[in-house]
Amino acid sequence: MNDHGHISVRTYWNVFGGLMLLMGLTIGAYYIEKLVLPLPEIVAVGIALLIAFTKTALIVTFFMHLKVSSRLAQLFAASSFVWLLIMFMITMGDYFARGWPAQTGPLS
Amino acid sequence: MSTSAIPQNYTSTRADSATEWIKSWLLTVDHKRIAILYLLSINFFFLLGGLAASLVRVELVTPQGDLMTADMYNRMFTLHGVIMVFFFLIPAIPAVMGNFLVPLMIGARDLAFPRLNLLSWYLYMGGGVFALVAAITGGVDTGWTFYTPFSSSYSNSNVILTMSGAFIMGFSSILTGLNFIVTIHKMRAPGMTWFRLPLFIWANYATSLIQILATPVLGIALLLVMVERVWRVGIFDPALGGDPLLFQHLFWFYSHPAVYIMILPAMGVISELISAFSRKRIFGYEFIAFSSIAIAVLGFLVWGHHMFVSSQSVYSGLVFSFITMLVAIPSAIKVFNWTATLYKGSISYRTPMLYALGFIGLFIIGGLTGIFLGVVAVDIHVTDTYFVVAHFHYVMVGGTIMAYLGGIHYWWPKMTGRMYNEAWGAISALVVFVGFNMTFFPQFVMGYLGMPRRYHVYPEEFQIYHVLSTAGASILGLGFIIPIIYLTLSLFVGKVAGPNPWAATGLEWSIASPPPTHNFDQTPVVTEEAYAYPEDAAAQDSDSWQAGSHL
Ligand code: HEM
Ligand SMILES: [Cu+2]
Repeated sequence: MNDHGHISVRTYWNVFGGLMLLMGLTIGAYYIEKLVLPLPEIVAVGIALLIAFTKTALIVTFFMHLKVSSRLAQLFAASSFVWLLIMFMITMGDYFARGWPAQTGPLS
Repeated sequence: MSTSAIPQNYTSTRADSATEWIKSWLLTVDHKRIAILYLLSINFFFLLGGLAASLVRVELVTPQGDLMTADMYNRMFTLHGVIMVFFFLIPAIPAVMGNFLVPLMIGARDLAFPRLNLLSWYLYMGGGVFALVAAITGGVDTGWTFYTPFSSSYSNSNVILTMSGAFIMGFSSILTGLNFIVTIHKMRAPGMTWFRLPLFIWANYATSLIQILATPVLGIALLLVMVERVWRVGIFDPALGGDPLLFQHLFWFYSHPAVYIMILPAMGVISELISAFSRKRIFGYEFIAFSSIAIAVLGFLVWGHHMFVSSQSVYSGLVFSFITMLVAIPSAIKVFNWTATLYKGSISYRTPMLYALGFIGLFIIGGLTGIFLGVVAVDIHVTDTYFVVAHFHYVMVGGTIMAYLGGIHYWWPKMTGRMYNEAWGAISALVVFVGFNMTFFPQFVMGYLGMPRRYHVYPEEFQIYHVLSTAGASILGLGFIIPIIYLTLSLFVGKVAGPNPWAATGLEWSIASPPPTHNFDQTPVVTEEAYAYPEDAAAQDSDSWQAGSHL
């Protein structure tokens, strides 16, 4: 019956350390971008998102026990990311196609 | 006093004092007791939402705004919408009937996480308190849809309190979904394979998927509005660099699937009722089961049909319109299968069946008008009119509430051990049906003619429809009050029901009514499919019928 493997307390602390490090990185990246090296917005946001995704992955894998969970639980977790993807893709599809076709009606 | 007897059923206790008795209910982890807690609290919110609706309808009797100011009117219909959607329709069937029946139907002793289940109820109540406090201290004027930037920048009503209420209630919904999914995967009795599950279980499983996948998005959207309101962070308000349409995307990513949170469990109830009162195996079991899953999945891809007249890209609109047509297919599959089940069945017009038949008719009207609205060209004409109001009341009241009432009547003997007065049951089902149609049918007409929603002053030519609608609402209200009376009375004077008053199949009918605390003395072993009525049950019934026997 027991689907759960074991994650040691040591690993938890290591992950915690990693998360703190990444938080420092997020804050650091903000100051570097603001004070030292102004990046185009898309790059800056991209970097921030990348760090955020890494944090999420660490939390989900270790703190939420996904690494040692049953296949079924992993499937459910993965499906939530598929759904996130659906949300982003369709929403961004709208933003992408907002100006199409250029207005030609009586209003313009 | 202290007989050492084990409580005979889940309602009896060994408590010696009133406080202990209250504690035994408020701290219970028994899924059946939690269902009763939900039943009482959800019905309380239903009556409250109904009160707000009545005030709205009374205001609309005349074209002038004579009962309320415009501002008060806004707050009133918002109160109605918020309470009915978040505190009645979404939790109603899963939290009351699902809680009571999921373990019983699959042969389990309880849900997988009984304490989490109790926590869900407290979260529901907590969210309800927030919403009530918001209402009492001035109310909200944004509509239940909370559109930005009005809600995030301009409204000075209790937006944050109300949103917090919906946010907290959302967690209750997520936890219930989680509990059902784990229970259905892990706790089925031996022999209870997936394709022997009652269709009510399939429906609740599909609903649970939506609850856990969609609700977090609503939570985040509401949180972002609150953040923007408090700290002026630019997310939705263009003046701050945000995009108001982003809110609509996030909101409807939840709220369209949420309409299926309301209707899927209702469809599950109807499958049970139709089969039981036709005394026939349900037609197309697999199709009904999989159409629930199909609705749950496709329901996530159509939210943009609420945004046709926003500045959404016309290409997005086109795609959303097309997928909206697709999602109607699984709904239609269910209707066809229910109808086919009736064919050559031995139909008895008991109260629950009256609600079930009412459901089918009204849901068809509601669903088909949904298709009208899914066509961009038609929607541009009728969006934000009473046509939309009529559409969604046909599906939510004609669909979900009909099924809720039908289910309550069907499982009432199981929950309480008593039968209610059948004549009054039938009368009130008819009163509800007539009142409902009289309330909402005129709204299709006036909406099509151009009566906009959410206005309390309107051109005189629409008055006749509003008067009809308000008259219908009074009848409908009566139809909701009568059952409260005879159901309450039945607790004291009702005939003792016995384990299986409807001669129905299903594990829940194989045990005593009300069920014992631990449901099953021995874990049941399932050897047959759901709805295993004998092939010739209908024929036998009709042969043995004589004047005076039950319909
Ligand atoms: C056959 C399936 C359905 C289709 C094709 C459909 C289609 C639509 C469309 C296109 C709209 C947008 C109208 C507008 O704002 O201009 C709409 C509104 C709505 N529908 Fe449906 N619908 C369906 C079933 C349902 C069901 C089952 C429910 C609930 C149980 C529901 C509840 C609602 C609600 C609440 C709104 C209005 C939301 C608001 O603006 O306040 N619909 N529907
Ligand atoms: Cu929709």
